[in-house]
Amino acid sequence: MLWISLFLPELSLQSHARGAMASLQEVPLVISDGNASRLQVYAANACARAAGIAQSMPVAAAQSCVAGLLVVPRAVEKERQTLAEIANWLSQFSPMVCGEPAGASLEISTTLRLFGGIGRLAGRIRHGLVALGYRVTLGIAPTPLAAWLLAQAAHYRRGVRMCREPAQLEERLADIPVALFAWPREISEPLAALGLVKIRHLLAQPRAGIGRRFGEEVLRDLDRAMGRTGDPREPHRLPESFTSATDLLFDIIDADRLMVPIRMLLAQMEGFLRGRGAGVTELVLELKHNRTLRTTHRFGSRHPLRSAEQWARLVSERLAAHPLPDAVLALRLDAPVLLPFQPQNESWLPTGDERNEKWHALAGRIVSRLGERSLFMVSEYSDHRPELAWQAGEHSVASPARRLSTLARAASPARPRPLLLLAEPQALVTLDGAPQHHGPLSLVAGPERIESGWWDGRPVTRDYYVARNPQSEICWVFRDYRQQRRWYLHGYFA
Amino acid sequence: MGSALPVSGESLPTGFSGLDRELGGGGWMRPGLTEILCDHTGIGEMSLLLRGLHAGREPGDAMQVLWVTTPGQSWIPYAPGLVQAGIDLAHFAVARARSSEDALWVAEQALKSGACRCVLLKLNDHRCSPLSLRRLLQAAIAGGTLALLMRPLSAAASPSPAGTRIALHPGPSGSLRLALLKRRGLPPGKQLHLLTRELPCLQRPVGRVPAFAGAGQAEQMTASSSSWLAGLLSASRPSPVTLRERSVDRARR
Repeated sequence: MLWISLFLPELSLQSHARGAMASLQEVPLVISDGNASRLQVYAANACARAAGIAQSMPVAAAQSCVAGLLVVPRAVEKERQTLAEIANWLSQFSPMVCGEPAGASLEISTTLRLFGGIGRLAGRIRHGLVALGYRVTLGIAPTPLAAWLLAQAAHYRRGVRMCREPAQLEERLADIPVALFAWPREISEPLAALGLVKIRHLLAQPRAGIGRRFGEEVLRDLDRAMGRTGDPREPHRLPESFTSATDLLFDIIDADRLMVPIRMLLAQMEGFLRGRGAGVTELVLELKHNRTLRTTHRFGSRHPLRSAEQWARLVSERLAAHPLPDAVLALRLDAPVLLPFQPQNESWLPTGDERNEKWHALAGRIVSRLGERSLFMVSEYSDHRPELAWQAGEHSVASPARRLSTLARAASPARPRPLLLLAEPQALVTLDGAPQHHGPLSLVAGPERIESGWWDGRPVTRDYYVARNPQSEICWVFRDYRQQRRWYLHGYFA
Repeated sequence: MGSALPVSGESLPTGFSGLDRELGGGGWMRPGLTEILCDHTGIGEMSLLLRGLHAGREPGDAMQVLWVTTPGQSWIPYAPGLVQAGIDLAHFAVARARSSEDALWVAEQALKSGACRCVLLKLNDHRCSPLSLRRLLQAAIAGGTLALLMRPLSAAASPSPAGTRIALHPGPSGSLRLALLKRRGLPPGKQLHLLTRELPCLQRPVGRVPAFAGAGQAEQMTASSSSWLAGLLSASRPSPVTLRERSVDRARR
């Protein structure tokens, strides 16, 4: 067994200020806690700490330390939500992820080789979480409790961060402060009063005496940390769909800057989808502008996608094409339906499937920017009326069966069809009875009579001709032989 | 000379062996940007471009031909006509852009993506800066794709990074006259005539009024029509009009 634990020393700050960390570095920010009459500083960012603000300081005193201090009340529910989201994201690295008070632990002995060893895996976790907007410290040990202690100790810069051999645990944990066990006050205070501040001190005492004096809980935790007894953990349960929201603290009106928090949410989703072995075909992004105004964007893909990069491209195209109506205060990303994900062929030769993927990615980008109906495949449709003899289909790649059937239809020279059809037939001026289009038209073939559509209210009664004008442009014209016998231009044999 | 095109690269046959010979390399250069300069609609210009695009396709090849249309164009690519011209509609997509900027953007993305065999784009001259042409060329090279760009003839006066530039004019008997303004490895200025469309009616010699309707029907058709139509229809030749249509006519009479 080998466990990685991660500790989020700034959980309460970062669960509020995700996506705004860069801009927040220059702004003093504290999280307040306690009852309304006696608000205390629960956590302070680096800028506030530099101004002399410390934990447990009354908020009123902190406000007098620095002008423009931003005070945000602690939201325990939000912290819990953040931890759950981090555990969701971690599930891509191990099936066994469990929550810690301000972090998470995951068992990695089974997946270590897959991720290229402990160093690479730890690096991926750390960098991944930084990209999500969280600062973490890591601890690695054969037991989850020892890993958790090392992760916290790493934050306080005490002791080692890694211990791979169970036999070395006692030695490596010796200098860890017992305060990190987070035992209740009735245990921790007498321990401190007796000078038992490090694990080494506790281990030096007679075991029975410790148990009698401080309770079995202390002995049990020590044994679990040292791997002498089992430490059963409840694995984190992954939800059935993805949803994540973030407040921005500062209004963002610029689409490029908005992409920073959006990319974070997408990266978070990608990790979760990897853990679930799933992809999604539909994403809903909700931008909250103020109490009443919200913008909702829906994104679709024909195949389940999970890559944050691919989705981010779709989102940024859409935001580039649709300017924000107002500054954005909060974001919410939903992926309601998870679908099984088929990993792509990793061959270096492009295969048909891979080109298909490229086409779908391209189609997604175009549709995302220009709208759903901007990209289509054309196909024939069995209707005698020329304007109804085609239809716009989805921008998919048609199956071979359909391709054969279209090829099998022999070109019919007796009924020539133009390459370009006018969306609306264009009425032609006549001079001396001859229709004009850049000069008088001469008919070179026809007529082909088309009389159809009387049953659905769009009847056509037309004689079609192939005609040529003095510039040698070949047109497809018709004369309506029922209604006024007028001439119309309907297409070009381009 | 001033061309940023790589010397290497394959060619995509145009479907006209005469043209392939004249375009050094044996066809449309791929990757590359080819400019077609044409002021007319309906002289066979699209047939020229479309002929070769689906030839030599291997089974399972999912590469698309993408036709980008801009809002100034009142027409749409017409599926029945495309099928008659031998286009495989399963690999033919149309993108409708709302502006020239969008059209250039779509073309650039499509060229870059490597998902397309060819991207066809028709542009108005004043919207097309040398910079956007260079971007199209770079995108085509990045994606290994062929870009076919149609512009008005007036663009011939301005320089272009395109490796091949062809001006199109109507030729005699429904043919297309090509003036090769720029081509790879060969001197410019060559002219050639091609019959790009397979319309039987166009292959008759010019000057003779083609006959397409029986005399009796002509009378009936022109009963209330102008002398112009009567003159056109007066030639005598058996009618290609189908039996069914005849009976419709008779019923009307």
